[in-house]
Amino acid sequence: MKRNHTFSLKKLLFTGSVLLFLVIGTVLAIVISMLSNKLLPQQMAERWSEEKDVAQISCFFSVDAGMTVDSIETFEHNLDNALVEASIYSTSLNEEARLWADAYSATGKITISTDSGNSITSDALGVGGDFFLFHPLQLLGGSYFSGHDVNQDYVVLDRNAAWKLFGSNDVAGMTVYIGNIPHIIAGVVEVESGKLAQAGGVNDTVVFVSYDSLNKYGVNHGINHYEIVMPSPVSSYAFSYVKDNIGASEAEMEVVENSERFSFFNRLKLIKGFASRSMNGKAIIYPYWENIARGYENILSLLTVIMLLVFAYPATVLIVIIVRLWKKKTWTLKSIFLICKDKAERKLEQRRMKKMKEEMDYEDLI
Amino acid sequence: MNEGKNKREWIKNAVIVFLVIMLLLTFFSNTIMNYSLPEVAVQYVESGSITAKIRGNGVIESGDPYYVTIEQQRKVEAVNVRPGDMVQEGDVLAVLSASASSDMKTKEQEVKAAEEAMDAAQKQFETLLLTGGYDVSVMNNAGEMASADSLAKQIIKLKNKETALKDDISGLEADIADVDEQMNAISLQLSINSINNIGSEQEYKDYTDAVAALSDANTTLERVRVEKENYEIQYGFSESDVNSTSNGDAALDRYQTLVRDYNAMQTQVNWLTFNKNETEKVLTEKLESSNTGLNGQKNNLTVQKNNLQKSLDEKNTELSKVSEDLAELTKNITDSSALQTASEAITKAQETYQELLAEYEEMQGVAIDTEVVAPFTGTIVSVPISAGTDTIDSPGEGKGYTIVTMQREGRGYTMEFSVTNDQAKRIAVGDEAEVVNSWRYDNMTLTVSGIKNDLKNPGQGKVITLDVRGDYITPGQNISVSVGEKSANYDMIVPNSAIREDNNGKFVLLVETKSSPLGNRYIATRADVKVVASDDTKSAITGDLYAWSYVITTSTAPVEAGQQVRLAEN
Repeated sequence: MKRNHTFSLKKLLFTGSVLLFLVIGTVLAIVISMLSNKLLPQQMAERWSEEKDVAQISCFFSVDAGMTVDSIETFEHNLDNALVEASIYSTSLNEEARLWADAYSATGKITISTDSGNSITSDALGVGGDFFLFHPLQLLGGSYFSGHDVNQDYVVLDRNAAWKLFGSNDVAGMTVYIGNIPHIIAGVVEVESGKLAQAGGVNDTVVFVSYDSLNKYGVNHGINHYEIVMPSPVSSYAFSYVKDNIGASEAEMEVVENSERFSFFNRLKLIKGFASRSMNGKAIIYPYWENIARGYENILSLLTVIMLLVFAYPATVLIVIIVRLWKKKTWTLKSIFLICKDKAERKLEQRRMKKMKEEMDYEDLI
Repeated sequence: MNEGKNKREWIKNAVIVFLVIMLLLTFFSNTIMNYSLPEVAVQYVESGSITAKIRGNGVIESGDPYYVTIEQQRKVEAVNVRPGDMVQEGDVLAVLSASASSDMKTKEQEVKAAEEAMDAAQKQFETLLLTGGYDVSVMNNAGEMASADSLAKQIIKLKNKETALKDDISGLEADIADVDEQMNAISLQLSINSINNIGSEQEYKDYTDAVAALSDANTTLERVRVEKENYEIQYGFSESDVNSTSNGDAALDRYQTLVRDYNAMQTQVNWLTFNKNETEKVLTEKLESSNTGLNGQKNNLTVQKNNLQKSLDEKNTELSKVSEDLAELTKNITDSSALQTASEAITKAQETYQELLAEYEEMQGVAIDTEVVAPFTGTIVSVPISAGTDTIDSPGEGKGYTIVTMQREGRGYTMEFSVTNDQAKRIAVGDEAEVVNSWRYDNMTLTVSGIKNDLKNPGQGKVITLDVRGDYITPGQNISVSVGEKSANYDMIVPNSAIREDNNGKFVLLVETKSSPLGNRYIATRADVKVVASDDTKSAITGDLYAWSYVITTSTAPVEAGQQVRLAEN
């Protein structure tokens, strides 16, 4: 009686611990998957196309790379030709659908003032292309603007900037002055916040203006970011194309495939390169969202390692059980094969008998 | 036994707790699920109007600056005006010093030196003549025996005259060449003038468009006529058959159509011909008036040339007489090389003296007041001088030195600003523009007067010129303007934040209501749209949606088509 009791307790503990580890591992896997999908700027490929035939590629440049709006326009033009040559056409029924969309930005500072005399000097992003398509920050009012708009004198404020200038979020459509030139507020957004965001570079206030305005009226540190979502019929097509044709050398830029960066394989790769991860030899200043994404990459890699270790325990147990069962088994492959053969032969025999009987019956009839 | 009872008790409690939790979850499932749904703000799709505006800024410039200048460089004693001041005709703009500037002083000294040099050369000649033992047996004008003294004086006098005449002659020849050049230029212009280049770009375009339209119409008319004739020949129809009933006769139907078309085309051709003639008339009238003007100028120049030629001939005659007299006087002394050299030295010194004297007189010639007054009523645009310094060269059309530039009262101002090609497409000459923050500027009217290529950005942009009128306009003022397209009405208008895009084009998310036993459910559905116009805050769309739908503008989390959402509180 006693032996049964301790046996069952041990077994209970054992099964309990295996299940616990399984649960923890699953929870970790779920958390990793949720965190991977949390960063919207990394999810452009999914937003752009439901099928997995597009990729989002980001490039970050050092000041030496000398990226200009002209070089980006040249790249866009060449891309159109390259897609035609590769016979990649839009399969959408909508004739105005675009195959690709892109955006670029520069960081800097800018001074904004209002009619009533309030003024702030804020971190600023001078953006071009469809920046907000890639960065759908939550709108607290108004709307985004795009580099394709007819006028390029729009401003998007963040919550803090709107508060400092007007004391309200409901300011879309109002006029502010940048360099004494009137600009129109397109909208107010909620920028990422939290420890990681602050470490990544999100300071007190941040405003978004057109690259043109930043260049003319603010402090412009040069275009340091370009991203594009484009068709990628085979894996790495988009990545290689952008890297080879964007017009900067490898020593002056960093290229990232956003759609792949949180995949299992990539997370493992990060662990491999973990020692050199903190080294930065390219004098590139990443925009705040890229810094946040890199922070997430680190966190997720760590979680992946923990998850693998946690799963290691139940996995080992499972293997041990399988091995034990295998050793204990009373059958061999050969015996199974013979049994199957036997069964098959018997079935064949039965059929033959049946056929013969039918023939005899038939002959009888005649 | 006890153990068993405890165990059952425990199981019973566990089951009760479990059932209670399940019950609660079921009843509050809707509310719980709702909290996990993204919250969206919606807007009703309605009709309205959109006025897209192009904005830009630039500096107001004087449309027609007038340079108030003086001929000579002077030192400025005082400046009485500033840019932006309004002055009346006769107001004193600046006070200059009365004395000549350093330039004049230098010139004066040069003239003195030349005069002394001339005197020295003359003295030299006299001395040489007196001491050289020459045969001076020439009669002087009064019939007396000439003394070496008076001979020298006469020779010098004649030499003076010779030099002066030569100077005048070369001056007249230069003037004649000048007039010739001007006449040639006019002749060239006359030969170039044609209706192809005489009118403005717009006028010429109107004309060529009219010609092309007429030609097209004629071609079509001819085609219809030929076909009509073919029918008449083939079927024996005539124009009187136009009104008969056809009873399904295809040929007759076709013929009737052809006749009607032909008549209609003919009317159109007539109208187009009239139109072409009108546009042509504009150009030919311009051409005629230009040619008439040019011919008039040419006649004036011819008269001028004839006068100059007459003076030239007179002077030439005089010169030959003087040269003859001189030769007569010097015929006995021409073999001395020393005298020859001295004689030439006099001529040279005389020429130099004449030149410098002429320059000096030119500087002195114009009477310059010490006060510079405004020649008309207007506004001061710029003041490039300041007290204590010399005046500077004028960049204006007139030569001389600029005191101030002025804008005549009532004359218009202009403002230029750059736009992209996209923006330029939406602006037409004649559009009215508004000043941003217009309450600051009383009744300023701005009209687009020109669209030209931006030379700083060739091919990339254009420059819009606005004609600016109003009171109290200060050149140099920087203003921001907006030029609007004509506003248009559209059936479906949504805020810009409602427009989304993916690789299937632009779309909006509509909210559809589905009622269920647990209350209303709101589902987001996708509707593909096309944006036909947009302004700063809203866009006009067409697409597969009804005008009374609700579109999603903003949401707390990303929303996909087919997903359930909940509406924001208001």
